[in-house]
Amino acid sequence: MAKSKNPSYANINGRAVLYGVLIIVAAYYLLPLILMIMTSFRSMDEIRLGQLIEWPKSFSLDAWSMAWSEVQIGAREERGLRPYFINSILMVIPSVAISTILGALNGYVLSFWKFRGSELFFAALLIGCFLPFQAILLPQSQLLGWLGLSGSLVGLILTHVVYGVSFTTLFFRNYYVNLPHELVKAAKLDGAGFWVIFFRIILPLSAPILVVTVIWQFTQIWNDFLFGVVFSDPSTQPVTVGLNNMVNSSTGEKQYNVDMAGAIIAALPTIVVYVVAGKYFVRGLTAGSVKG
Amino acid sequence: MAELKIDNVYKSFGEEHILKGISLDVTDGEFIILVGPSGCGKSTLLNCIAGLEDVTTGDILLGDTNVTYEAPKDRDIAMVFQSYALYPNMNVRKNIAFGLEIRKMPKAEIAEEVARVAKLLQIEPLLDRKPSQLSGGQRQRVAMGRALARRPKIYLFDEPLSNLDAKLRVEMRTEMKKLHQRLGTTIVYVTHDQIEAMTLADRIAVMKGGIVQQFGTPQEVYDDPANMFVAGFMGSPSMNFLRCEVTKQEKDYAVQIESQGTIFQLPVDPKQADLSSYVGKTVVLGIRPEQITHVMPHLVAEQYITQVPVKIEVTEPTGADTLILARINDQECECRVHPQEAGKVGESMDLLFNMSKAVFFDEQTEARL
Repeated sequence: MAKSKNPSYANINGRAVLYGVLIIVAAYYLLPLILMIMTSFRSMDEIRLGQLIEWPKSFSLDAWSMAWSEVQIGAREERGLRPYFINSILMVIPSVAISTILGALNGYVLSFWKFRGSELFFAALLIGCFLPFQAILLPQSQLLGWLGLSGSLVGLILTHVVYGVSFTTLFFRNYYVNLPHELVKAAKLDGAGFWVIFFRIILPLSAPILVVTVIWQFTQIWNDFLFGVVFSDPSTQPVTVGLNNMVNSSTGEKQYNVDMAGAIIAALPTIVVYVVAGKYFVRGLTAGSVKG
Repeated sequence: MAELKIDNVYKSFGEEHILKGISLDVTDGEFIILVGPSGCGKSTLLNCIAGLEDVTTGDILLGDTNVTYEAPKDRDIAMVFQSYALYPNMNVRKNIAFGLEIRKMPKAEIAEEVARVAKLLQIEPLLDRKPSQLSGGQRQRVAMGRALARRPKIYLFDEPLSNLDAKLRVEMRTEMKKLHQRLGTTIVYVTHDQIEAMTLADRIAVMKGGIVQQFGTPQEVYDDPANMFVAGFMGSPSMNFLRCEVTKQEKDYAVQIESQGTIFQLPVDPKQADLSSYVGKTVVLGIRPEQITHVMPHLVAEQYITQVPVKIEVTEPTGADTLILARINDQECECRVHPQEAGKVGESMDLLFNMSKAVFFDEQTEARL
């Protein structure tokens, strides 16, 4: 829209209302985070004396180091959230990588190398997107038992990969159907085979959808609690389970500042991923919707 | 370079039959154009030649080898696509080199080949650009460069000029013809533009409904069409089709036309058709607009020329000629006259009907008589 030189009052008021609403909504979402951050910097003495919601009178990072490496969680020898955090990282990286690669390959095949029944295959795969987590708990634990992977990190990774492939395939397939098919035809005539076309032509064009998929999978898997609590044993529990155990410990005093710091630590990686790659996320989601 | 032989090729998608028995023999170095309306199967045929589609039955031979069941990469064929299909992630140099790299050509030879092609197509300054930084005409050149680099046995072009604007299209058409004359390669070229077909081809295959209607030189197809479809499709403005009755004259035959209430007998050249079995019946007279002209005194006395006054319904000046829409036998008839001779709308004007190149078709079967 072209800017008019003399905006009418109606326009200005409209803008004011719009921004007003946006600020209120943003504040509504940001306030809990701000409260968490403030509380995590206060000391327990201060919290005990005053209100939970109050400006910090002193600044200390004690609660953060407590949550990270000192607080006793359950009956473990290692203290703090650190071992859980490391478990989460060990789980999330292979899970995201494998499910993304499989999704890209599936999408590539379903878009450019259609076979008899490939549409049916895709439809069947999509059902996986609608399966609730709870529905696969029992059969999956049975399967992991048979495979001898119960309670192991590998079992957890396998679960996340299998569950995630439906989504990643959907993402890549829907992105690839908008790529011109003549590219693949041209490459075939140039003598390229299945893998060469994938790695030299298709994958270099997949950056936007790769970012979307990686962010999506990372957030899903990092934030997952249910699979984490069901398919792990104490040595392989991810950070979401660790945080839950920490906050729900019923012995002693409730350490609000440590709980808050722990919650932020557990959420930090997803926040970082969004801040770093967020604009590609939006761009990738809308890619292909506008031609040109 | 090689000969291409397409032998009785059928292609069906389920119950939908796209190609119904195509046979074409293309000799080495020939420029063949497949032309026809959309959906006639010309692009499918091209994809079958390339190996991008499997044929249902029939054989495709390249030189002495039967390539019907070979993968595209083993056929040694290069193709230029309508959308150019340049790899967006590679610059022009890489685009041209890609096929050579895949075929494991040594680096030095690749560089040499890219340089040769770039020089040939005058795209040297563009070599380091990405396809998105090129204009339509430049992309077209690069797409051709990619095809030329491999020196394949034959080249396939799938409507390569249809995405260019009108002026550029005419320029590229000339360039393509020059290129073919220089390289002498076998080319199969698909277009729906009959002017492109006429100007470029050594031979044209006119297709409709999955069947080759006629396969011949441009002049054959133009002057001697196999049926009404070919006659109407080739040439712009297209051939006039007038339904008229055949009459017997002293020794020859004639077709009878009516203009402004007067009956005229147009003599039929026996070289063009034998209408003896059609006396008293209706045939379709096919006569091109340039065979109906203004009165030129030196032609008036010729045997197969008849002077007919017509009423002008519409005039369309094209600059070089003026097209006149007249009414003959209560059917529209387009005529091509010199701009200075053209009358005004509503006026009557004398025109010369030259029957020496007229063709005749059966009213029902639309086949040539």
